Amino acid sequence: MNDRPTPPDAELFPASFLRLLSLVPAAVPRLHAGVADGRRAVRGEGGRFLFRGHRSYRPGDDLSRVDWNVAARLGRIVVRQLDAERDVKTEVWLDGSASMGTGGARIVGVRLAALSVAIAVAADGRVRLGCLREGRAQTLIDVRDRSRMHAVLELLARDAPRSRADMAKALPRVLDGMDRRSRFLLISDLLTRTDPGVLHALAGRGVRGALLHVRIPEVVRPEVRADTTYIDAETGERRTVRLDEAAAARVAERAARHADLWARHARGVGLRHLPFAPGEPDEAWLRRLILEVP
Amino acid sequence: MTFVWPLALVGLVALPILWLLARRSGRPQEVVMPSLLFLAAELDVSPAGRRRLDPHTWLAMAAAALLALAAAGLRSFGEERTRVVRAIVEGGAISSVPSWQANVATALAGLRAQLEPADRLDVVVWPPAGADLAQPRPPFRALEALARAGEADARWILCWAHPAHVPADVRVVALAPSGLGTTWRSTGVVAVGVESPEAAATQDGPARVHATVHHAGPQPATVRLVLERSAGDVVATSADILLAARDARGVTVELPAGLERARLVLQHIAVPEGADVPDLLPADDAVLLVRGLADVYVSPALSPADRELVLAALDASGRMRVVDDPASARCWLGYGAAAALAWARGQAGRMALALQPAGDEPPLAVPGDAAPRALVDARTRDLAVTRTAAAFSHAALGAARAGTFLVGWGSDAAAYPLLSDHDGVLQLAAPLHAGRPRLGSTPFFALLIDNWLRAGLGPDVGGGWVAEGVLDLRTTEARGQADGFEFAALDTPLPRVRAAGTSWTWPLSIAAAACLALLWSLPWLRMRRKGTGRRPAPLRRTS
Repeated sequence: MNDRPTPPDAELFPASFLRLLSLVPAAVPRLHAGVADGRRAVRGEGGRFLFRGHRSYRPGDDLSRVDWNVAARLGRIVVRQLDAERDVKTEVWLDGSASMGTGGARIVGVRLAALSVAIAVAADGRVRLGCLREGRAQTLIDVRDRSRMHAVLELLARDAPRSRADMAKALPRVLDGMDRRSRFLLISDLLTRTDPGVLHALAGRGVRGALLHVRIPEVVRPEVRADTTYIDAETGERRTVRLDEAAAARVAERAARHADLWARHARGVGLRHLPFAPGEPDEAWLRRLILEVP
Repeated sequence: MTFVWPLALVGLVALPILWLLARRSGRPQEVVMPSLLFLAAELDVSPAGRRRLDPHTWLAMAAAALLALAAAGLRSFGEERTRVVRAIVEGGAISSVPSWQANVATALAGLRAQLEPADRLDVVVWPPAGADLAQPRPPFRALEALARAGEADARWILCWAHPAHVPADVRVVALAPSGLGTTWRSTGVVAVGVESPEAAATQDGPARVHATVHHAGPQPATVRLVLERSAGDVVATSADILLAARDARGVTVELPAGLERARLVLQHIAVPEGADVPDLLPADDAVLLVRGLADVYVSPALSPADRELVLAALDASGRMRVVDDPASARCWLGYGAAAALAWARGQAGRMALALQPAGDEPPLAVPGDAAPRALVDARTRDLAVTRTAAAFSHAALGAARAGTFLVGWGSDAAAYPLLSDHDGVLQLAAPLHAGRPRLGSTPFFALLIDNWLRAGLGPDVGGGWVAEGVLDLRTTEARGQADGFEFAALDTPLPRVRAAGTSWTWPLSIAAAACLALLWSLPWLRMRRKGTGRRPAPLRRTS
């Protein structure tokens, strides 16, 4: 009897990507080996090295954790509390608007999401994968171990981009409910008029992470074209524009300014801004996600 | 501007097709974009701007138009050149009708009024002035053939009446006297026969002349026939004959013995409309009766064999007498057209038979504009020879005098019996035998000689008499048109004729080729321009 799960969408997740995904658990410690101390956050009891504090001895506590030095000095028995060595919760939010379904953005988005989840799980962390759409933040799945990666891929493949994201409403809902010191990854093309100042809800909460900016060449560097009617994938708005070289350069400049604006605000709250574009190798994405995402 | 091949202008249909194709292909392409966020500041292209055609379309349309114009043979107009108008005026017997000349002059004046000073009017009167009036009117087809002969920008025929069918390339002015109404008359002798005493019921009585008198007028008329030995010397008179309108009656006149030549004259006795109404056609009022054999001069240049053959044929006809004096002969027989024509020109009303080319004499040339015509001579048809016919140009006809028959040849390789009659049409019979025929090569030579002499000298009316001047019935019946004088055709303006100007075919072709070359090189030029232009900046990382 063959109980192997059905392979996910072959276009979104080809065999080469699945092989790369299977290598993530082995790649994460190796890549982390070169990372300076203090770059990883861990949380929770039960560890062996990360000291949190003392508490009074309760029957049943491990005697090996009794701090005899304190008992000798203060005359009462306390035990050492140690944090478990595991990552904090990682929040991976994917822009689910229709704009993420065009120009190869969906492939970039879902693969980045899958890789981010895999990396977080490989680091022995907890992951919440969610989708931002129509002003709502919908949790797709909570992942605690690698066994659910297949479900992650299926959900990502099933959740087709549609409608609008309405970041101005969706992002505050995500940020307000986020744990302190958690990791936050937002995968989006950032094609929104939402004020990037919305990110400042994370200020002072010890949240780290990155904006994984999917930059679609058709948008940020349009081709020179004769009269062309452009149709907005989200709103259906139509504009007939003649994109000569000057106009294309103006559009590219506006896109660059828009990306800079989001990058500045992200830096202000401890997030990194990482641009990704369709066509880049998956291995490069994996390496950047491991090395550059805090 | 004018076009040599205007049908090629159909190629201009390509212009709207190209335009439509360009419009169709120039419709803005629709592209789904993730967002119009960064395009919002760009101005929409106006519909008028979208309709603007690109250089490719303009070049293609220009090339198509130039090619179509070049294929159509565009030419600029030259200056107007001299127009040549050819007018054929019916002459002959009809010219004796009162007021005919005046009508002709009026018509010609109307025609000249349309002409510019530089234009030329060629007037040809046929049969020419001086021709024997006692000949039938020329058929319309003869005038038509004359009108079409030679180069002309407009062709006119000024004749008695409109034919049943007027050809498209010829305009006809009918000159029948106007206002004839009921006051005109046309009476004439249309047939003559001589009854010999031997054939008459009374064996010892005088010979008699039976004539048929035809009256074409709308009112009755009383006439009689008189027989004159010479002008005014009346030897016999018929009874008065009352002719009803459009009636024909037989009249008998006694023919005294001993006469060798007499003139039968129709006299009008009573004219109801008044004495001042003359006969419309005097030419048909008199017939010359000649008794005896016709004098034929046979050229001594004939070879003995040919001479013997000719004399045998003349003897077989029983109507000819060979004389030695060419001046008194009515017919000349010999070799060579030149001698025959010279003889005929000097003596109108005579007949020349040129049996063969003389020495190296060139053949008579058949004009290139000769129009085919059916051979109508029944006697020739009876010979059961293959026939062809051609109507000769006026220049060729000028060689033949009215009343002169000319038998000749068409080429060295194949001789043709050639028959010219007074209506201006030369009739050609095909060679009787292959190769250059000899006089005796046809068993019908004697019959041919007799037929030609009969046609040339006049019909044998019996009793050894020959009648000259019996007009065809259609000539006597000539009468006015229902509408009278017909000058309507003169109202048609003459065509403007311009000399051919400069041809634009080559310049247009070169321009079209230049357009096509530019069309072909336009993408290449654009590629070069793009190669030197700014390249879009690579995607840059902003943090």
